[in-house]
Amino acid sequence: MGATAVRYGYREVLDFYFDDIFGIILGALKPFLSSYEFLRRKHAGWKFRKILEMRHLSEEEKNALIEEFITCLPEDPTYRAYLESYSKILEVFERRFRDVLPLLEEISRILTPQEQEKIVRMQVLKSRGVIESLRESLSEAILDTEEPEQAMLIDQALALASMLVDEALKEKSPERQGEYMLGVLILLLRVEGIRRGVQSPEKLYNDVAVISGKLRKVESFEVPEGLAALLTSA
Amino acid sequence: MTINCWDTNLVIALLNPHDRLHATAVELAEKELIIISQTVQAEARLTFLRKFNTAVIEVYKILNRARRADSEMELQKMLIDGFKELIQRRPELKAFYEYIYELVH
Repeated sequence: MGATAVRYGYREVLDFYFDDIFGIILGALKPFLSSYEFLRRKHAGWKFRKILEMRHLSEEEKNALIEEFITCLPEDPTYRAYLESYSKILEVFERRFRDVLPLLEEISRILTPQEQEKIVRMQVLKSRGVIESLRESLSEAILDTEEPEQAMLIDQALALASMLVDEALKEKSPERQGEYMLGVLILLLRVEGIRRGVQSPEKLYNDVAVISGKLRKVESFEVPEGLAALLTSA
Repeated sequence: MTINCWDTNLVIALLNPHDRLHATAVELAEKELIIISQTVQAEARLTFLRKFNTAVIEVYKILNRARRADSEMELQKMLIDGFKELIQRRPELKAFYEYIYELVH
C-alpha cells in the first residue's frame, strides 16, 4: 500500500519556519546577538562565545522562551500596552540570560557606531527575507487549509511585518526604527501564540488594525494609513 | 471652514471606491477639514479587514473553480458569474466583493 498524502495547513508551515521566526524575534529584541562574526574579526570572539551559544539553544529552551514571551503579550490593542509588553519581554530575556547581558553591553563599546548600524541593518534584511519566504510557503497552504480565514489573517500580519521591516530599513532615527521592530515583535509573537493555540485570532485582528496605523501614508487620502497597501500585498 | 468628525462608516466609505457613500466621503474630504480620532481609525481598519476577509474567503472558492477554466473567455465568465452569485447571496458585502473583484481582475 502506498503512503498516504498528508494535508499541510498553515500550522505545519509555521512549524517548519519556527527556528527562523525565533531568530527574528530574538534579533528584534537584541540585534547584537548576531554580532559574533564582527567580534571575531576584531579578535574578540573568544570573549563572546556565550553569544554564539545563543544560536544553539535546544528546541526545548527555544520553546520555553517563546512561551514565556507570549505570556507577556498585551490584552489591549494599544501602543502603550505594546510598550509595556516589550518591557516585560525584556525582563524575561534578562532573567533567563543574565550572563549574556554584560556581554551585550560590552559589544556596544567595542563596535563602532557604523558597525552597530551595519549589524542592525543586516538583521533587519535577514528578517525581511525570512518573512517573505514564509509568506510564499503560506500562500500555497491557504487554499488547502481547513481554517482559511486564520491562514489569511496570519498572512496579512506577516505582510504588515514585512512592510514594517521595509520602513525600519528606510528610517534613520533609531527610535522610529525601534517602533517598527516592536510591531514586528508583537505580530510574530501573536502568530506563534495562534500556532500554539494559546492566543486567539481575534487579538491578531486587533494588532493588525492598530499596528498598520504606524505605517506612513503611502499615497493620497484614498489609502489611509497603509491599509489598502496591506490588503493589496496580502 | 467646517470641521467634521468622522465615524467608522465614513472612513470605510472613503477607503472603498465601491461603497455607496464613497463619493460623499471623497467630496467631504476634499472640501472640509476632517478629524478622525485614532480610535475610529483603528476601528475602521478592523471593520474593513474583517469584512474584507469574510468576502475574500468566498472569493477564494470562486478563484479555485475558475482555475479549471480552459480559456480566458471561460475564466472571465466564471469570475463574473461567481461574483454575481456571491453578491446575490450576501448583498451586505456587495461593496467588498466589488472592491476585491477590482483587485483580482
